[in-house]
Amino acid sequence: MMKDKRNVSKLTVLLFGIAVFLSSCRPVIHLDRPGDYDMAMGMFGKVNFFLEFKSFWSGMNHNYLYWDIDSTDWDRVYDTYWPKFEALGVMDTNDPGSAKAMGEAKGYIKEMTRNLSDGHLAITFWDGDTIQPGDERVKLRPDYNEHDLVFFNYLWSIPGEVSGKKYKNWFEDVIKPRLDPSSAEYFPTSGNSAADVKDGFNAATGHCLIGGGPDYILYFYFNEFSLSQHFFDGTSPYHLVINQFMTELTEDPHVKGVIFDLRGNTGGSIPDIGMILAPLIDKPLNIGEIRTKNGPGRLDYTPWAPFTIWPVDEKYRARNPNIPVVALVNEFSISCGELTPLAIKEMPNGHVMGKRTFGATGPRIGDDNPLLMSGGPFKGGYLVKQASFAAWATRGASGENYEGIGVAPDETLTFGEAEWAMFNDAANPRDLWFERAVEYIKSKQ
Amino acid sequence: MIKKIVLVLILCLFAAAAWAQEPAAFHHLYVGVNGGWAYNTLYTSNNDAYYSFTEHRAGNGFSVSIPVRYQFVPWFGLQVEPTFIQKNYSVHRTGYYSPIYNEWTNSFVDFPILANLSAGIPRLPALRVFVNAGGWLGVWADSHIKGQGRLSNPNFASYVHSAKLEQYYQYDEKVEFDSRRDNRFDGGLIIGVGFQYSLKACTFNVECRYNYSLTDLQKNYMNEMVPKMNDTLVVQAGVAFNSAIFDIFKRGRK
Repeated sequence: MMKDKRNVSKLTVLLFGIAVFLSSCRPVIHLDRPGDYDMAMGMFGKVNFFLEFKSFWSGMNHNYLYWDIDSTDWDRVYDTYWPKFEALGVMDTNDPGSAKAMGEAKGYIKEMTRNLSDGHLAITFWDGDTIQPGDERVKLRPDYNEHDLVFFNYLWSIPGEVSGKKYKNWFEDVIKPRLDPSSAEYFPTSGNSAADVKDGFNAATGHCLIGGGPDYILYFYFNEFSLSQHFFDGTSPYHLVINQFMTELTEDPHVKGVIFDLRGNTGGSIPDIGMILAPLIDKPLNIGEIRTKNGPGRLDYTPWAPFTIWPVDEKYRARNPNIPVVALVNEFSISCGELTPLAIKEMPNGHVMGKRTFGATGPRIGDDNPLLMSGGPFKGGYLVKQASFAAWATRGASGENYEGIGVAPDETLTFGEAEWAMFNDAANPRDLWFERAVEYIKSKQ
Repeated sequence: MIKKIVLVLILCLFAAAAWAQEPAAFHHLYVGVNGGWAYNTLYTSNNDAYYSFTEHRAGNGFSVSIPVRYQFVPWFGLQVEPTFIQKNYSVHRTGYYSPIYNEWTNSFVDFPILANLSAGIPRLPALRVFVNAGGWLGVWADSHIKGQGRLSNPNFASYVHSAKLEQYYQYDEKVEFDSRRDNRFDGGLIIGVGFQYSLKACTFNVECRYNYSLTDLQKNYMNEMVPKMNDTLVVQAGVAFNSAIFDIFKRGRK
């Protein structure tokens, strides 16, 4: 009996020893939120450049979505850049030398993120300056043409003068005459004026043209996807235009084709894609797949899930089913401005014309909702105030990646010097892309 | 299906053992079957705080094994125990994000090697308390994910109802292992305590076992990698037969 008691005691000692050993066998990693690294120090007027770097690097490390396809070795970035930030030291923000150091730090951040493929990536610094690597990347394309900016930067629908340049009402004076000028109707967004141009960007605007006679084509230009927002706001000057377009689409039996002019469309609310395309389909339209992050690891992803547009009830569908649907796109068609042509490409009656789009196809989420999906935007510290990027990744129906690449059109059109000259011809301005879209629709009659 | 087969097998073995009730004697070799409940939690180095409204939850699974033990002396033996075990867990978003979750069912084939130390209990000669201590090497054989995500998508009932912005999507599928990320080599330490009751041809045992992984579910592929390591509590019961079972079967045939 004594022997048994001794054995039990030995077992107890053994168990205790093993428990002590086990407790020291595992890695301990503690993550701070990006905004927590130096907030206190920043508030007291000092900036610790290494902590600023660590905060940003770590936030990207865990929240950024495209590490699976990006060529940037983020660990190597850490090894390369931490000594540079460390060398900048800790500075009082009122120190006369701090501006130079902050400028250097900003330059380092720009270098670190230069090749990241997320087209939505935008990094806002302490001074309000924002860098967007995608903007720089698009300028490197062989077919990039700064003339395309005309669809993007200027209020080209309002006659008048903006930033020293004179514009005519493009839709009234150029597009409409190419339809049937005697019977075509033009529905502009009233209330827009040169005063609505902010930093070179238009206010939300849309222009609907309904061709008459043999060219009964529904043309809809809009510069951003805020359609449902304005549609449900009866006081919005934009409301009537959207309402007119939707009414024509769903009720007018004469419509022979639809042109969505998405050149320079900067994107916006994803449900708007369904709003304009769902009436044009009679069965679910799978435009691709989406996924988000489900853990802190760079490669922690949910499975891919279908990205589908569902048809609306029959009473809301287009009166003329299977009419040709054309999208005009260029390298400044961004986000929803790319997902929409991606969907149209999947439609049997869809046709996308123009140039490859921008390459920001991963849906975003508001900067005020960080960490929604274990990934996406985050608020930083003093140096980097905000890092914004996609919270979901998108790929095509066959698994193709478009992020950082863009959606290729079915039919490539050029916008070179010759087209630009015709576009600006004072006596007889022409938009050859629009004319080609009309020609395509006519060819399908 | 596997559960049913194991259940039938265990019932047959218990029936045979009950038929063989005679005083126990010392035998060198034992072969048997164990089965039980596996309750797994994921070690993440307490980083839940980094992700707001996120909760890691333990998962329930099962374990089936075939213990083969060589008994050197009555109080010491060495045991190998090929094991199929599930080490499941889930991550749930809480509060405003609550419908979002991911639930993993992870299956492993492990090969534990255990030192079996046992001691008799006064006045109960057939009953012994034992400790299994050792480690295992194994393979992460399969992974399955079930979950729900949220997307503001163009999934409309009609454009006039377009204020309905938030949509959910579900998935329930096998996880394709990613060779860049997933570490399929499994290993760790085991400590277990239990009781065994010996008859002539077999011993019955119940055991509470703690599997402590020393390997991460991820390869060391990134800096600041939050660990994902399994802690698995297994409560199991089983039976192990010694060579006397053959004598009983021979007698049965006569």
